[in-house]
Amino acid sequence: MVRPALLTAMLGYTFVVLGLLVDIGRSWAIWKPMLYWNPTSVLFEVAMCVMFYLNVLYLEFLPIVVARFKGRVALPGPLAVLNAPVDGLLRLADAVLPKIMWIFIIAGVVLSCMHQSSLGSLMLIAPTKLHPLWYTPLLPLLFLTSAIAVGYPMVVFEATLATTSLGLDSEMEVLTPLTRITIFLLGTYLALKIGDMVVRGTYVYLLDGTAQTNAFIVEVLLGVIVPWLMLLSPTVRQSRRALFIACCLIVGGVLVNRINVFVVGYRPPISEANYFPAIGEILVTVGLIATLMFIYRFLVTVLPVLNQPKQEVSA
Amino acid sequence: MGLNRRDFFKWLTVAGSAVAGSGRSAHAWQSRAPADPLGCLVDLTRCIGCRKCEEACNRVNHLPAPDQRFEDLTVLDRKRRPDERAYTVVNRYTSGLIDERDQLVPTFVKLQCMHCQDPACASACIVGALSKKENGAVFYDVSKCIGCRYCMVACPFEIPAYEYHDPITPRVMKCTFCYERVQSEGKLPGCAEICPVEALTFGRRDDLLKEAHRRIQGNPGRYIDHVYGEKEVGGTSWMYISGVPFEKLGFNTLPETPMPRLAETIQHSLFSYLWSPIVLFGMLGGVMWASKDKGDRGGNGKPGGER
Repeated sequence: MVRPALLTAMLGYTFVVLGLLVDIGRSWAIWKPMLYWNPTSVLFEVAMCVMFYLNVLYLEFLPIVVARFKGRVALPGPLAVLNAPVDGLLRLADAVLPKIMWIFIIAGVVLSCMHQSSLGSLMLIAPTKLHPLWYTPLLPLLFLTSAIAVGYPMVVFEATLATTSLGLDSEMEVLTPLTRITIFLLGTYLALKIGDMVVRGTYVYLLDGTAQTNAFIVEVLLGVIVPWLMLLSPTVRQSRRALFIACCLIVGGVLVNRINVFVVGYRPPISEANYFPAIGEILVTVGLIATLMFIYRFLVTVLPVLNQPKQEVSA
Repeated sequence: MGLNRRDFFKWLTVAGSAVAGSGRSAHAWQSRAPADPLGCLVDLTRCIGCRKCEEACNRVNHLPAPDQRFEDLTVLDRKRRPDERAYTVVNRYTSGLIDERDQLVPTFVKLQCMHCQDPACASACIVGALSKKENGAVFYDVSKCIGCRYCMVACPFEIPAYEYHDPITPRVMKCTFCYERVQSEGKLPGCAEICPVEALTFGRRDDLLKEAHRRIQGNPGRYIDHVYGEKEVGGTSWMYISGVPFEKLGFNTLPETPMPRLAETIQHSLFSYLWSPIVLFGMLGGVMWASKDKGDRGGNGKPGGER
């Protein structure tokens, strides 16, 4: 269960960085935050965390590569002269990494906590532009708790897709217990979200019928409350299909939350221009995700990531 | 490795909320505004909408030629915003007031970067390409910029524009307060120098504030009692006085709190000296160490071992 999640994270973050590379206007200058620090900038902290976290993820993933290729390095053609040095590096990694891996495991958790919360802090600089339903000093905590809550549902989502697509065991005996923890984690997020709305009195907007308000209702109702109630039922937790639906709703709910905070709820009062992604932007995003899925599928066939496939045994 | 990871996520919420709520009292937020900045006072009751300031700005900043000549006042028929080709624009508003010949009385509003005392853009900029200078200018250093446009998200006046048409070296474009002219050459900003009716007064911000209030007090019938930019977002170097309420002239109503305050307070109380990551790292290390004894670590590095 860990390795597919790790692969998802590694590829996900790699493609986030690739996406950002396209997104920023001066792509060739992407290294500059390493040199010019602005400690007051939330974005600077996010950038540093993503940079370190990506490297941590690569290091965490390295043992899987080592396990597959150690002693079996066979590069094609003239590259074959590099076989021995590459194998040496893999052996070195195999000897050193298990001893220090705990550092990177903890660092991975710390870095993701830091930058998930900071992603929430990004909009705190714009109190006059973000709709009050989302603008709250709790934004960093809401981002952190929702990111934690979406973890296991994402594993279920991805494991269900991968095991179905590759014809493997469904792993329900692992997935079902995981989602019991999600009831608590998602419940925490829901309580914070509702509590924040009640304390700040922003429920007054709920029935005003604007696009922002409706998006908020969809986000909380379909993305949090409904799947949370679904997970409370043991029948749902044990049904592969129902569990998959609940987890899709949770993943979708967090996705919609992020879109709401950064796009739907973001309404600069003067330049009323409503942003909607251009076709090019959508195509680039879809292309990146498609490439990610292709590489995921490629890697799980080459590296020991999923359960040992039955086909491999019979082959 | 899998075992430990799973343990961590059990603890994550505990740890996360401990960090977020650990209530380490935040250092009181400190403004980094310069003590004695320069500024510019715009008297909207004097402006005649001649667009000379736009022309001078275009000239001294070597901006691209406009689509319509600066003498062409039909440009005023529609509302414009400063953009990547014009650091400043003048718009015409009518409040419904008519003069003795039944003509609508116009009010002209010049727009440009307000040069905030505590600029949100400078706080937000990932590389510090935007900075508040001692003389009051919010300065843009293109050599640091990575083109992320977070400054545009941050700016409450929605001023920074961007050269979207340039795929390789796009710049963020906004009024420079003629930093070089003022600082090195001892001149006035292009717009303030050329204004034929003294609608623009350039000087020390403190002096300008006194002058603004003197004009308002001296002629309460001509002015509304509000200096826009005195208190908005903690104060701005550019300030306006007017005879028509500002909300009728396209000015947005803004809080008196400096924009960066909340984000910086949260950010600094969580991350000063990186104390929270270090504490979290220590806590998780403790959890891992404690769970090491009861769990087996045999699965480490072996394929499929952690399942």
